[in-house]
Amino acid sequence: MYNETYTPRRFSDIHGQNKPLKDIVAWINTWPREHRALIVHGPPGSGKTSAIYVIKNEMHLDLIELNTSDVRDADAITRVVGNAANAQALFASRKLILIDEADNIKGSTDSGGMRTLASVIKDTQNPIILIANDLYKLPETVRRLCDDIRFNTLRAASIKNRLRDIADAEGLEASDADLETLAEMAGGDMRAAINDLESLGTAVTADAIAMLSPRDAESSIFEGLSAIFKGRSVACRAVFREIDKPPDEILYWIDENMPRIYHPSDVARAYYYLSRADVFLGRVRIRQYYRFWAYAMDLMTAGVSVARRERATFARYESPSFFRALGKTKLRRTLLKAALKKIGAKTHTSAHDAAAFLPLLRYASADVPSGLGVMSYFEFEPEELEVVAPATAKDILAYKKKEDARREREAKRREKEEAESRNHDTAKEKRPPRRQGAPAPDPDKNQTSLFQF
Amino acid sequence: MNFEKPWAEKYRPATLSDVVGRPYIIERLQSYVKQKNMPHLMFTGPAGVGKTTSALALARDMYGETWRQNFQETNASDERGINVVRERIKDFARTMPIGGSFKILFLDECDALTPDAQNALRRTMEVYTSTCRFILSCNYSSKIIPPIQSRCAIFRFGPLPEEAIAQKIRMITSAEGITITDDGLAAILYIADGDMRKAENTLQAAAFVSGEVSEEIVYQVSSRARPEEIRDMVSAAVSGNFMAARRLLDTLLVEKGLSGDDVIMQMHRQIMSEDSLSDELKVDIIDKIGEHEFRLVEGANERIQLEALIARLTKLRG
Repeated sequence: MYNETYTPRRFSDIHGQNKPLKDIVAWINTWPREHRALIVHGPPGSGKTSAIYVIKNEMHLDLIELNTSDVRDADAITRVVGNAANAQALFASRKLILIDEADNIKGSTDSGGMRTLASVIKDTQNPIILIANDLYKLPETVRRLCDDIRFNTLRAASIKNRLRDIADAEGLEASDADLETLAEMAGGDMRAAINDLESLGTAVTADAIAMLSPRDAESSIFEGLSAIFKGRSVACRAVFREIDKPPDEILYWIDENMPRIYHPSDVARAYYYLSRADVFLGRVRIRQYYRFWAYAMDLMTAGVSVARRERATFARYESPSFFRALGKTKLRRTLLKAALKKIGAKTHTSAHDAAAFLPLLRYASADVPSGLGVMSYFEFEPEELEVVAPATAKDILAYKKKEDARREREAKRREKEEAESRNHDTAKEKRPPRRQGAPAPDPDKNQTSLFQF
Repeated sequence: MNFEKPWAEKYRPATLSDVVGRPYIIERLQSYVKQKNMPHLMFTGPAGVGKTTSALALARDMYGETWRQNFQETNASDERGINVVRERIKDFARTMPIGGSFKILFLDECDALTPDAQNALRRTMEVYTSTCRFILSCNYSSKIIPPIQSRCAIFRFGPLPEEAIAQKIRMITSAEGITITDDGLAAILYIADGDMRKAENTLQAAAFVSGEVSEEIVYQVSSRARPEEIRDMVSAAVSGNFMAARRLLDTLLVEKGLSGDDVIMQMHRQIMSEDSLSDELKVDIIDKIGEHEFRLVEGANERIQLEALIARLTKLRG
């Protein structure tokens, strides 16, 4: 296995993660610190575990590891960390405790693991490093006891350099271009890239690379866009099978970028297919018949791709602007529908005709108090108000909160005053006490006001 | 200024005699009130011309205090299918009228019903005729199957005459204590195009901007672009500059909040007066505009469809 054979051993074997590597070394060298543990986090294959092993080698540390193959309940953690602390032999090298995949300590098998981990970190005699993909999957009780260092996704260039090292060591004939393709396909995952290189054997050719099945990991939308805009074939469809985004969102990405990149003479042809794709998306919405997504996807990817005749220019991809992408999400549509129904109910109109009131309601809501009037007249929920009056909804809701609180205070004050003056009355006039819970009769109220003034 | 309710509601006539601009229709409806009897009715016409208002006023005049118990509004297009509509009709028509010999069921947007659904509706109408009269409302009577039409007295509500709208607008401005300039009133009449609801909504939105409603403010708040804005967008596209045209389109859709059909409708008007295009091209592009509007009706996305339409314009000379 290349991944084992070529596990990095020296600092120089690590590509593209110099900054976090240096930071970890500095952290260990300054230990003990306020935080006695360190969380190293980042995407899979970005080199977190490798970095720790390289550091172990280079700094001659004694690494005590607790990974997922072990049971990691409270007992196991105390035992391992405790032993490490107690076995202080003479001439022993410095110890480092490594807990890999720390974000996977959970569930019944590791019961009490997290709680124990927190208490162990507090009084450890040795530095502890926790490795996790997602920092925020660790409970706050653990995070606040730790420093953290992030490994960013590896750039394709760094992966390519490492692949070049391995290819040369193995005596493989591989062109730079092919290694670059491999590196790009890996999407920042070094381990994946090395596995791919190994699975090719000695045949590192473009054809062989093309046959590699794409990994499950989410390909980025950028790769998809590149496949559409740079290829000129229906092959780009395949890339989108790996992109975990709904078709309408993908449509917005293509819509935003295509006219920036295509030659003006190709734009109309590309829009022909894009708008046809959109027609199918509309049909899905209306009929809830999801098979149409297939035609929509083919038209927006393959259709736009083959519409290109001229050379495309290079431009950085832009994400679709907030209004376009967010403005049409399913959630917003649902909320708008609900809001229109409420408008319709108050104005004797169908949901369709109720849309005629939207501009008025936007203007009426530009002013916060009158926006509150809009909200209460139509009985909008806060989320519905956000759709009807996006610009001012937040202010209106804050104002409503304040008003509600004020009204409540006032009601309480009035109640108290009434109660007090009632007592006052009773005392002065020596009335028999009223039956408890009975509402104050009106004449009573008049008398209290007479007394007050 | 505070928001109490839409003026279209606040100033909706409560009685038939307050309905403006429809003397002949109102006279006939009032005769039904006098006789305490009426046939099934069908009101046809575009939005905002008084169909619902007349039905509500008729019910009030007919029943007085008990009108709410004897009148129900149901929307044919909002409900999920004709079966739901039939259930609601049955529930309503089954119970006895209060203080009269029949109830009135107002069924809005009947042209949204398929011919099959309309046939089902026809049978329902027949079954309950003794206790329930129907007022069917639709945009086009031609979309209603002949057997239903033949069972109804048909009332055609055309666009309201300008004078009727102007009268109402003046009434509202004096009641609300705001002023309107002459050109402001003219702008509202132009934008409303016979639609009272649109006129009232525009006036109220304008009043939120200023106590003196001028032409400028009316255009600012109306969901309609100035003719120049559409012209700029069309000419940017025709001269081949797609990105510039797209920016103008975004201004209209996002900042001005126009709907896709508003833009398409105005593009249609604009293309016809675009001097740089030959008549042959105009006809060709009208065909395309119609196609894209059709797609919007079918549930397509307005921005994508409008972009595609603009992109076609860039190819007209190339």
